[in-house]
Amino acid sequence: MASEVLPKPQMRGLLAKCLRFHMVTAFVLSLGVAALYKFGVADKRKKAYADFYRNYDAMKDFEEMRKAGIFQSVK
Amino acid sequence: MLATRVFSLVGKRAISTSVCARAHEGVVKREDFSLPAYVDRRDYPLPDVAHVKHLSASQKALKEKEKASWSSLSMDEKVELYRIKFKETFAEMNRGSNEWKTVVGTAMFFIGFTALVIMWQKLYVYGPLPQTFDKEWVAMQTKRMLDMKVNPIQGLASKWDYEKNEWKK
Repeated sequence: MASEVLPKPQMRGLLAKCLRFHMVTAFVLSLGVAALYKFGVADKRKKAYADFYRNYDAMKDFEEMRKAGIFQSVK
Repeated sequence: MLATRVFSLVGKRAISTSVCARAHEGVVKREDFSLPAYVDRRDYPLPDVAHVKHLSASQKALKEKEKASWSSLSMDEKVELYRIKFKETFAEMNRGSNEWKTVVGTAMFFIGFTALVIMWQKLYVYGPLPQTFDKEWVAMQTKRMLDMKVNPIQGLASKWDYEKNEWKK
């Protein structure tokens, strides 16, 4: 039927090939996502909190809120 | 045009089985359904029966020739033997189709129709929004949230510049 000869398909080791590809991909993707989360979200958030509280004056903050008139107990 | 393709997709399954059975009285006997059947499936490579059940005279002769040495078979005879045993090749049974376009198109059509339904509902069914949605109310609400310093580290108040009294750039 076919005048040209098709290349012989891979007959053995199909599971091994599939497994190797997917294991490598799974490792790379999950480690990559974990690393991105650590730097992009977790460390960024920790830094934001540290920076906020480094020079935080609670009394000054309270006075600002009191002057803005949001409290009912103290004007 | 999409509608005709959809109807042909849906209508294939909607024709009642009894109509089909009556129409095929001479072809498929009822008891055939209890016998092992031929299937073209990727995960069932060697079906229970051959594809061609009743061989013609030339096919019978070919089956006899198959009992001898296979090197005497020509390429066409080998293909003929394959086609007796199997209906479609793996390449044929796995071929893609354009059905996905009909499916996606129909889905988008009905999503669009849903949008029209929602627009009608907004106009004729729902009452007015509460006053808390007015622009002035939301402005007063936001001002109060900033005064309270809601989420000052990463949230709302962190985006407000308290010195310049404006949103941070």
